[in-house]
Amino acid sequence: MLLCGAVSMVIPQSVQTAAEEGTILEDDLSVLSDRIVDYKIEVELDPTNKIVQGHEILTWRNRSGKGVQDFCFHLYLNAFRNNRSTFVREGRYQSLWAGEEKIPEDHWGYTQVKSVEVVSSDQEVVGSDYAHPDDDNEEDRSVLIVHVDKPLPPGEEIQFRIDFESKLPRGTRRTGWSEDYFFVAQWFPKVGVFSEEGWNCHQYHRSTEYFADFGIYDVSLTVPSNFVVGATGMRISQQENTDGSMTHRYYQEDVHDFAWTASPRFLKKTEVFTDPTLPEVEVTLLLLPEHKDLEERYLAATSHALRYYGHWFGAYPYKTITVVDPAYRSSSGGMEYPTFITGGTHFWAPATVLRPEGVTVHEVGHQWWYGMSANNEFEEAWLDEGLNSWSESKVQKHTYSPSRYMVRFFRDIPFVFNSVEIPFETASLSAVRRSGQDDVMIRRGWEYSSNTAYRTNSYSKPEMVLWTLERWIGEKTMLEAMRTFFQRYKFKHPTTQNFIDTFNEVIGQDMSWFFDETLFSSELVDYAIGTARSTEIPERQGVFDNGIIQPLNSGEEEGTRQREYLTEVVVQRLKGARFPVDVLMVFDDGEKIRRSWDGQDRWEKYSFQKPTRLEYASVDPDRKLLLDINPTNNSRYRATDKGFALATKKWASKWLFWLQNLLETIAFMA
Amino acid sequence: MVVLATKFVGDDRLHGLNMRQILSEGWRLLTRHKKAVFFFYLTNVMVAAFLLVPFMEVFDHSLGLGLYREQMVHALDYDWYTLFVDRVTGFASTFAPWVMGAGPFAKNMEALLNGEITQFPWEILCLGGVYVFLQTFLLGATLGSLSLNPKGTSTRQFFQNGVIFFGRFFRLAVLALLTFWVLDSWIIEPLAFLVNKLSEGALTDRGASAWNLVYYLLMLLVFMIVNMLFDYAKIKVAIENSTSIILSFLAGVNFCKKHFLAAFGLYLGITILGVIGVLIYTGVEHVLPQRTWLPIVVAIFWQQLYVLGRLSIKLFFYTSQVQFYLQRQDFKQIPDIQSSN
Repeated sequence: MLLCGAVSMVIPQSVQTAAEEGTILEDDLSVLSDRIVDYKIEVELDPTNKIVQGHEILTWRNRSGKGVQDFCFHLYLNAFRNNRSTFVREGRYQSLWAGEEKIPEDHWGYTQVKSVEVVSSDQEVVGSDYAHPDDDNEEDRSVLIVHVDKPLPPGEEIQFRIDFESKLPRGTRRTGWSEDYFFVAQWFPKVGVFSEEGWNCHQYHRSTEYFADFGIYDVSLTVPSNFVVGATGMRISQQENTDGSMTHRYYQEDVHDFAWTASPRFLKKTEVFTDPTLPEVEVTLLLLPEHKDLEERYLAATSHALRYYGHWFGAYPYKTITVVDPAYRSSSGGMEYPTFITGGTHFWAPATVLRPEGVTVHEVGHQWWYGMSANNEFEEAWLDEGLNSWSESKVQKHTYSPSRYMVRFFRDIPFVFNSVEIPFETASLSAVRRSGQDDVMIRRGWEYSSNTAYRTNSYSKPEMVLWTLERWIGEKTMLEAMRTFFQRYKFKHPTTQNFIDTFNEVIGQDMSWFFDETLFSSELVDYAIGTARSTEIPERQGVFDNGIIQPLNSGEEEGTRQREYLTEVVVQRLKGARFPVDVLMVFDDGEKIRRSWDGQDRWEKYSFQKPTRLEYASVDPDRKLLLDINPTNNSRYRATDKGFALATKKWASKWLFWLQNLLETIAFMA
Repeated sequence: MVVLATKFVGDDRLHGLNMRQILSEGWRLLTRHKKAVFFFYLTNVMVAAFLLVPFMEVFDHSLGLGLYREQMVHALDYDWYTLFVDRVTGFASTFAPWVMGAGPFAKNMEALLNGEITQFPWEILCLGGVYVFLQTFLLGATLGSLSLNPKGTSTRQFFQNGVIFFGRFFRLAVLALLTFWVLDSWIIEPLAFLVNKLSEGALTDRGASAWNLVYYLLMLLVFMIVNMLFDYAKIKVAIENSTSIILSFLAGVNFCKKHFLAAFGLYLGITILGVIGVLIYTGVEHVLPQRTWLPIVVAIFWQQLYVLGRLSIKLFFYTSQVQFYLQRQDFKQIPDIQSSN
């Protein structure tokens, strides 16, 4: 039972205030989205029993042209209710908590709807039942359908009051508790997305994230007074209660989810992000004490992301962003929620390894790709994860030196190998090489052939595709296309086709061939130089058309004849994907010849007759095709010289040295 | 058959030496047996080089025939490395950027303390087996020579001593391997499980890390003590001509128990010397540019110099331990075996 006193109703006039201050430079902040939902939630956290209990008042507007009588709700936490949920089944019944086979009772989590009633009209709830629209799992409880007695006509709205209790799981898959740390996400009955096709309200799957409509969230959270709280949106009031608890009220417009965190251990640091051409943003960092020395790195990464994403795609329209340093083994790191993200790091984090920077930039970036450009993550995850992985790498490339290769020996001790740079553009190439052929990018999250295929096709491959596209069309056009896409579909639910159409329009040509080879194909890219040789052309001998039998050295004095070489270069397409490529041939005298090949056939041959020999040939010499899975065969020298094997000798000697020491280590045991 | 360690028996010269003097005497003994270091090094480099040519073939092929060869002379290219990892299997797959700097030492130590030595590819394990076999012979030859010919040996004598002691040293090596296997099964695994539980239950990553550190330090301590016990068992075999490996091992245990602080102090002292060697090696390797022929050759020379140094320190361990053993052992109890022959 809530024991809070009267809470002052201070709904921020964010739109008006921002407009008055003149901070809105390019975005119209009046009403940003169509605001289909309006949640008013009041809950209390019981930290002992890990329970969040209270009620929500949901106002839902029917923007479709159809009447609605059944209302679909996500109860995401029920994925952790038992080991028969679709979420667990898709993980082949592996424990949700690594190393835990016999699960303690307090580890499970659930959302129990205690009551649902319509409070806005004379409609009545006539029943409810669980649904499993994506599979045959009758034991899954992650989707609830509420039936009312009369259809809600198009254009009308309905208001539900839902009393619920959410037991938080021990930290797993983005949510839960870890000792005195509570990360509360996917925690309330959340209505699905309705369109002319009906409800889009998928079960909670192992490989998928979320999809919801934009609206307003007004949430009051009551927690013990010593807890530091962070959440989506702005805190508009804080009220001490008679029982020693504290109620924090948060409010945010034009978002599609609400998450929050609470812990007595958080250190809170707030600063204001400023940029001459972007609106100010209040950045709050909730940091665990053991990571105090990483404060500046978190904040700097947040600023970089706000700045570059803002300049490239469009200004961040909200007044706040909260960055949470997640607790150890809480499974809540690296997640995005509207205006609220989690980072992730290690107390021993060398500066050259970009952690927490990478994850922070990535999650802040999700405010654009997911937060505002709100694609259906269940069905087209690449549209936010892929776009954001590319954007994140791009921000990092502009702000940091490349990360260095690091191994943690003895579990925690970082060994950084500074001479090995991890390039931003190709860091994900290995995943494409290993599993790019397993599946295609456009597929519903839970229908991928494996979790690896989901990850590769949602994160790694699209990132590589976008880097390749950028090199193809140039950075300026790429950013213009991305900006246009964002501006056109912010606060909407864009699809892959919207993306393709926007790019074709901005580029000014039909790039469908490119998207067919990448988005809709699982073929890999591998172009190679198969042959690179120069053969000396011998002296003329034999019978020629003029009927004269040429004697040896005819017309030429011994030793003065100009040598000529027949140079042949064969370029091969070793895998299935087809792209036009350039081929560069460099001759011994420095001459360079460049040819273009449409890359359609399996091979193409180039021949030249010249007085100099070929030095080397290179396909895709500018490395536009970053998707090419084997860059080592993209060039070939005609001849080997004495230094040809130097690299092999250098690295083999180091490997030998390791082996010599390993032998001694083995001998230590005898 | 005359197989005795009589030269030292009754030699009061070593009695009353402090640790510094023992080390000094150990060093003096090592200098008289330099050829042992040479044979150890030769064995090491030859056994390791057995896989070098096939490795170079795999590696060379992975570079292709183009521009990556030049890039890879300058620095290890990450794109190449991921391609290599994705494609190569077997012993060559052990190549990684950690072959640079202090990486090899950390990698090997971690494998040892995690009980993961057996997870290396079978080709490398076979080489390890051959190496242990040859090392056992050489160690028998070395300790036998220290015992029978403390002022130095001819090569022929050195190998004869190896033949004399090989059987017993081999059995001791098997016992040592068994002991480490038992440690791995009965101590490392349960301890690792326990530490995992403790670190999982830790409130912070620092707390978990502290548990991990305790685990590794404990494992290191256990491994060092076991190694030290077998060192003295071998010394006992060589000096006192013991034939029973069990009794020799027990005698080694007894000796270490009786003189634990001094024996372990000596062990620790020479270990620190080894660590200093690693630091010096790593520091020099780090500043060598290694982008053209000459610095690369210098680096290779430096690597081999380090291995030679490491093996010298290893034998310095034995010579010092022999000196220490002789200083602390009550020789009056040793039967005059010579007269019994």
